[in-house]
Amino acid sequence: MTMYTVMPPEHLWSGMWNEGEDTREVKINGLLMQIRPVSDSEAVIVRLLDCPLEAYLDPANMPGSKVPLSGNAGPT
Amino acid sequence: MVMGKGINIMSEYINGKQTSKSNQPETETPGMPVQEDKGLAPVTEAIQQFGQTQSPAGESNIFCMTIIGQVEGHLILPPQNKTTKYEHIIPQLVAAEQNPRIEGILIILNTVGGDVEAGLAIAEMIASLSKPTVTVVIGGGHSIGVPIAVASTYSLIAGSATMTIHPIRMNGLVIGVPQTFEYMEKMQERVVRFVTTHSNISEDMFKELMFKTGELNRDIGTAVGSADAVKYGLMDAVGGIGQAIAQLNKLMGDKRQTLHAGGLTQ
Repeated sequence: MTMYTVMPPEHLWSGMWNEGEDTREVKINGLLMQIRPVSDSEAVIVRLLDCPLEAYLDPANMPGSKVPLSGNAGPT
Repeated sequence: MVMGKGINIMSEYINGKQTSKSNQPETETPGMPVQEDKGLAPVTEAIQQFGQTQSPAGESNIFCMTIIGQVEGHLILPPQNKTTKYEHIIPQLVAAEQNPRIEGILIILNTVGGDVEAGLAIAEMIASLSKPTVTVVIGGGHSIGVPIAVASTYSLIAGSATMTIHPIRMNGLVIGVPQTFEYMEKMQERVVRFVTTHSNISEDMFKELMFKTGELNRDIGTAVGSADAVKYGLMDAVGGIGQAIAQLNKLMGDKRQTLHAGGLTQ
């Protein structure tokens, strides 16, 4: 892997050896995604794993977006 | 809060996708705040979702995507990095290409660079789209951001933006053999070739900027300003979102005309 960036490598890689993120896979609104819980009821999308192509166009599914965790209590 | 949300909405698909979310337009209460509990909910949601009171509504034929921070490739970067994940951008471009309602793609760049493979993959994807694309560099389009910036049909750079052109670096184990240098040169050549074939800059000029000394404080290379980027032929023009949308509309109009050419002669 070759990085081509103006960011100094010490900044880029700092924290690299910290504990891995607590992520897990869930299916929300029919989309299988990897999420990182931030509270009991909310999580942040890490990446989409299995979903229809159109799901990528929805900004609500962008990595970094928050999703509710309580079952299928997604936006109606 | 708004800032944080703003980051999340990296790509705003200003299309009919949101209609399912807020199907109650604010036409219900003409004057007094009697039914406010009903009317406020979508507004509050819109503020939370989009950082503004009105959610994008109506059909737009432009898909806007933003590439920010580090372009993340095969290795997940530590969490303090703000990243654009290429595994999301690539299917997004495929979806935009095949969606008949999307006629043009606007790409906004403010990136410090990142993984060469991922960056070149995104750049190649953008360059191979059949729909018109316009890139706007705001803030910076550094390192691997340069090939992404020039990959579009038309490229713009904001007046205060810069693009840093410098040699590729290598991380990890370096074996002290001549092949290491050859490998590095080969990697660098991929970037040089892509940029020179997708913009008007000459190879000599690009390499001159890349290997210049005395310009950057801790690297060799050049921080190219907006006027210079246009002068060297790297970017097409200096401008912002207004010019980008105008150009995209023009390109989409041209494409529509060529599609209909042969049918109606008007």
